[in-house]
Amino acid sequence: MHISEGVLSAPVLLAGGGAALAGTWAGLRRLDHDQLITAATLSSAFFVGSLVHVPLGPSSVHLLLNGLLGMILGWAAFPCILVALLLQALLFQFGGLTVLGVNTVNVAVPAILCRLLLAGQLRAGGRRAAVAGFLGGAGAVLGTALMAALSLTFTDEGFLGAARLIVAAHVPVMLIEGLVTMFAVGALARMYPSVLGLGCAAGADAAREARPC
Amino acid sequence: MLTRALLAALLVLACAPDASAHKVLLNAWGEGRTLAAEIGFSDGSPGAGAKITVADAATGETLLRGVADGAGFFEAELPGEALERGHDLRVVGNAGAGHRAETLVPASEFAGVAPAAPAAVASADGGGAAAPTGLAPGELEALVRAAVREELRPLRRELEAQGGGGPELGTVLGGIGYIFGLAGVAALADNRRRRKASGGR
Repeated sequence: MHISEGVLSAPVLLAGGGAALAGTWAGLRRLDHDQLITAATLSSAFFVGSLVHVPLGPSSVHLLLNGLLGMILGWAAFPCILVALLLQALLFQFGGLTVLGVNTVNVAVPAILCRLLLAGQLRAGGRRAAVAGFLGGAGAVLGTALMAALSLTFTDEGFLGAARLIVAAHVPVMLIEGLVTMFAVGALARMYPSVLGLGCAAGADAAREARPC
Repeated sequence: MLTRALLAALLVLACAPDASAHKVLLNAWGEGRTLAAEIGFSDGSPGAGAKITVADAATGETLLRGVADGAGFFEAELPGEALERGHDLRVVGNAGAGHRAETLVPASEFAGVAPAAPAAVASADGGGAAAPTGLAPGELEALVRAAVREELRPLRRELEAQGGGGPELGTVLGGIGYIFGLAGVAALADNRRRRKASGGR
């Protein structure tokens, strides 16, 4: 899911860079003090997740974990993803520095969209939160595949060609990440609703009694 | 509790034996008058069907275009005038879905190769039965060159497979360290701001 250097044209790179700056700023403003360690841990998970190869796809595919970050952190996932992608570009030579903005937007925006769309379900707790976790985890990967294809629209591959290839390759990743996010978010909504940043009134009743915030 | 569980999961991920990467690897080299290239991903899977373009690095003129085979290999004979000019060659591989890599083949790899095709290369296939004494010096040289190239090919592939593995554990742990270091800096700045805000009141 990392687009390499030299594939995209300058206007696409600039638009991506601008959008990434704006998103990071918005994310940093919403990053709460109590969220810092959760954010760093999830950012590390994202950083390492790209090394876990999924052998089921027709081509080389790795875990993304962007849905997990988005569902737990919300807007704060943006700077986390930026930092992790920057380190992947520097240390692993995945993607590159000029495409960092585009790659960050492609990965972060679908994740945050999923969270915004599913926040109500998360608040409901219980099974609905777990289902929201699955949808968020799988949906963020699908969204990122579509965003990556959209970025490739103006190359000789075109949107449809790239989308077909990338989405098909990421079906196993969608399933895996849907399950991972389902269990993570389901457990958090039950035991530590405060980690999800939904506010005190949001947690399930039992959780509020057990752990007042 | 949550943090501890996540950290444990991270460690497991970091130590996964088949942890592999997603970088496009492209190698290109000269074999006589032919340009050979191999494209693949750093997890070892070949870049089958990748588009390969060879251009003159000095003028930008496209010399060759082709598609890598199922094993990610590409081979094509360079045009004679390109060899005569003696410029470096830029090889670009595009494996689709935004996976692209490029590499430079220095002109020195083709130094000493005659721009005109020696007839020996063609006769090397069918001429195995000919007596060695019947060979012109040029033909013999071409035969030896072809044989050595064939023998070295698996060795070359093995060397490249070893060099192109995923990142090492130290690099991975270093990256995680950077992230937590950044979080520490953020916490420090946040604390300071809070203390100032409460002190000023």
